Amino acid sequence: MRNFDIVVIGAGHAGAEAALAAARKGHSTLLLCMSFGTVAYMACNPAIGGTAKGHLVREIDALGGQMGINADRALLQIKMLNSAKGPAVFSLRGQEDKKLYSELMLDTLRRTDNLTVEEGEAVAVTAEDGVVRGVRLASGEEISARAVIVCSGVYLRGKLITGEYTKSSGPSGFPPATQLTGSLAALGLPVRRFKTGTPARIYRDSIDFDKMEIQRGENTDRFSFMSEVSTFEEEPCWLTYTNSETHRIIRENISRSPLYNGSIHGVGPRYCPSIEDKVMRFADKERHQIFVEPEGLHSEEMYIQGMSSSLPHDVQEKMYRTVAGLERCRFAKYAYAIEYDCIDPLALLPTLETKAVRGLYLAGQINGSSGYEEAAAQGLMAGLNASLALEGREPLVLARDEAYIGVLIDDLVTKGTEEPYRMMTARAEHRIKLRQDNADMRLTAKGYAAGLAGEERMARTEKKRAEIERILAAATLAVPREAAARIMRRGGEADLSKGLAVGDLARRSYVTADDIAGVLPFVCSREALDAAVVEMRYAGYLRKQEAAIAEQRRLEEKTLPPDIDYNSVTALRIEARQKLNKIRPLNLGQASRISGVSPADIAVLIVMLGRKTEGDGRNNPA
Amino acid sequence: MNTIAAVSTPAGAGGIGIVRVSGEDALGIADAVFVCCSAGDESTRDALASSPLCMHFGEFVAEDFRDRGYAVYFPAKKAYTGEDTVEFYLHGGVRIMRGALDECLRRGARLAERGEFTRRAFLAGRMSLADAEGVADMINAESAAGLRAAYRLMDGSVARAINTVQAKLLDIMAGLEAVLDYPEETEDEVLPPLAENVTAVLDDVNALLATARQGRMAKYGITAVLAGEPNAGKSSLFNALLGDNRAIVTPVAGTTRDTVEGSVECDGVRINLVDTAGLRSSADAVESEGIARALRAAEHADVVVLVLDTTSDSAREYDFGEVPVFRVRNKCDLTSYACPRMFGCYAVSAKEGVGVDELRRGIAALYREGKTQGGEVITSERHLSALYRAKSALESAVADINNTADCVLVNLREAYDALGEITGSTASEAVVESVFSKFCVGK
Repeated sequence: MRNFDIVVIGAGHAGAEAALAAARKGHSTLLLCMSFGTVAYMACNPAIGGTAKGHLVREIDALGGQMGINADRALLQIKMLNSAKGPAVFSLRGQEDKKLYSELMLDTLRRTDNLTVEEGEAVAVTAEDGVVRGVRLASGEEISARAVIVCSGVYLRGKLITGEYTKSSGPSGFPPATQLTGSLAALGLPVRRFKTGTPARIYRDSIDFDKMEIQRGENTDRFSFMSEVSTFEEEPCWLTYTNSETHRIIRENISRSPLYNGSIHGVGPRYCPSIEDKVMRFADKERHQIFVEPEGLHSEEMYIQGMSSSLPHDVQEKMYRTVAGLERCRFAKYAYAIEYDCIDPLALLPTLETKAVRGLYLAGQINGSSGYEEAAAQGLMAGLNASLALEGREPLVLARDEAYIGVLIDDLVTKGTEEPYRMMTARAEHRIKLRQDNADMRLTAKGYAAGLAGEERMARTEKKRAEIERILAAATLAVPREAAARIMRRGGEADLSKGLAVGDLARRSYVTADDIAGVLPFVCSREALDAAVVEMRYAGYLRKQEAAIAEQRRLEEKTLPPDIDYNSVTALRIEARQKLNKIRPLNLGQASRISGVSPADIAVLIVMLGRKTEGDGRNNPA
Repeated sequence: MNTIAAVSTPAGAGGIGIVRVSGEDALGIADAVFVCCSAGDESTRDALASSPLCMHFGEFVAEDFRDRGYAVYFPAKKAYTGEDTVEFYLHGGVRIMRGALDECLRRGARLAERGEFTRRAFLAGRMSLADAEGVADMINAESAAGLRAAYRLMDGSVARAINTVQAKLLDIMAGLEAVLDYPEETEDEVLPPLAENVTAVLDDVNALLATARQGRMAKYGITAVLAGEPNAGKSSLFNALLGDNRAIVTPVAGTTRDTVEGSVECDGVRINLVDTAGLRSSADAVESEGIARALRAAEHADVVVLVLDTTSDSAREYDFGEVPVFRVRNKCDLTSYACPRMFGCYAVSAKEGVGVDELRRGIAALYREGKTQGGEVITSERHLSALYRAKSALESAVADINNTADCVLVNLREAYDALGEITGSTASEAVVESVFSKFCVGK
């Protein structure tokens, strides 16, 4: 029997990061995929990053993951979103060459020591006495493993739906995995059914781009802290709109939509509405934006963002052809909805290990999330934590005030989700602190300590940190009178009679990083300067958030023993007892975020904890 | 850890009452509300910090009253809660205690939740098993059922009013958030003017806060201070106001203030009458002190009943600040003087009992007059504390409204979550929900 430390099932964005993390930490790892074509395949839009997702990519990178590095190498264009709306919400988005990205990831995986990448379908996870033993393949082969990470994406009993037509399938025509669900259910994991969708791919040569607005990138920045900005061959995107004719066709054919006639049962995401959803729900909107994005450099296929649909093919053809520039379009792939099995993430620990089976981890869409970046982030954390557990080390659980990854996983395992979960900056309550510019400052030391981030990355981070600290220490220095007067005149402000400190100057919204560079008595790197100026500008808000964080931290530090029977704590309300028994939070902070657990319930737990500690003390003969 | 405050002595009249403030800003709040007599040029903060665990005599200065008393500073290491703590020892009695607490809340403290001092003590590792059991009993009695009952009993109109404010705020936030999370898809969205809308929410919160005075009246009664020159007949009017009615509670005499107090019910409202006995001294030398005392008592009254002797023609005017004044011409049985029929002007004869009932009803009517249009009145200190925090966050938002949206939202979220402590709705959940219901975003 073949024997591995860790087996990863599925080689999508979650599986690839999980396998890389495990193998890079020195564990013998097997990565199984249905076919090599599915490796890090972007089944939906040809883009990585975007609001909040760009933060996730930076964080994955800071911890020592691969997504950012490969995304930088497969760019078609890159842009900083929200650049006028404050550094906390700056978000990088890159258009990507799908095929190249997939090939780069496969290449990275194949060149990683300790890692075996293989085509093969896992049909069962085997376990004994609540501990994972390995996996069984469709071929009948049994493989033994000390940890198994399931990253099955939308492949589990995948069902493709367009109009009246349904077909058992994975995304983009890849085969589905039909048997693994049964095995997971038998291990006690609660199975659910979610739904998502994708728009059509249209042949490039059938599009009239003259009727659309061109959208170019900015090429100013990169995802990875290890990448340098350089030139590459850009591909533009195109903007066009739906119109009243498009909407009329949709309304007339709405009864043929499986979402409206009831043949789709899965729960779809609100943030990823089909065009029929948008038209029906926002009837007063005269038009909806359509972005036409290249699937790759000189690729024949164009992705029609904003036109996801599960209407029948003939209706799709009619409605697409009402859009300016798409009048004579030919379909390479029709839009479809897809239903798939996933697991209620409340069945997981914050390490992404299942509560039911020790050594079994889940990551990505199987946990009810959506998005390449969300998946990759979970894959990385599952791979890291499975490895740390094998090493007998403490797990790495990122807090909500440390990373978007922390928010993502905490939301999933504490609050659960009733639809595919997408990361949004609105979900991060400590947004001012969790910026994409400081992901390295927040996380690289942790990734390094966990044995994933390398020496070079760590050295770069520490150098930048030292520079930032030097600049921040200079915040109290007085700005030379003439320099201050010149900058302030430009901002329309009167010259102050008193001297102005560097930090005071930085707080003014019209003052740029270049201005600050000009008044510092030393030279520093651009990235350190940018980061330090943000810190100075947001000092007041950061202090405010730090105070809130410190308060929450005190609760996070009070761990709840795993063996409490909440039903016996009669002072708790019944709803709280049930929720606590189901979720079994690890500490008071996590308990406080469970819906249905009130502050009074937390007070009861605090007192109970106090008693328990005291009791333990008595049982210990001194 | 934010700073919390509460009255630490039992409710009701007592000689001394204690207000306790705990948290990192305890000294800052003390600095804002208390003036140490011995401090000289030194700030209260420095005076307290330089001699901790000492009683500092001085004056508690609230927005609408002052009281003499003591302040004591317990540094974190020596405090029950394990955090910086300041305790104020003031004159007991519901009104002073509530007033002092309100002032601490206004200065940035949050009202302590039930058992919170003890909870903090536990979190700081300062609580023994026995203490913990005490808290457990208290929470058992108070928690869950109690809180839910309180919520149910909460005046429906208050709940509606706060929900309305929160809904307005949510609209603003959802608009900003939608644009942050979907920059490209919301380019053609026209958002309503931000500064104007946030200011409107702030106005709503201020209007609700203004009803708190009415709320105190509902809960603790209306305090009416009888003031006036010697021999105007204050005491006989005091007795007449109390004595005509059988529902006398307890006339309490001999507090340090040399005032006489008594309570009476009228039209369902309790009236706490305070007779300023100090004014009865007639010698010029002490008159100024007597007036000062009367004025001080009047400062934290809901109404001053200025008693004038119809038969004498003193025209002396007093300044009672913003407290409404009822001008009452006593001894009307001795003259033919006819009082002009206008607000707050009464002609009575305490001796004959003429006009006393009208005056009493006039005082009771103050409660209804102060209500807002919707009739909602803030009566709970917990609500008051939440509203103060919402107000302060909204003021910060307005002050920094031209900053980028990520910053403005920090303040708006804080305000929303403060109100959420009343309504139970938190920003993170509500905002995401609202973004998708109001905006057509997503691919």
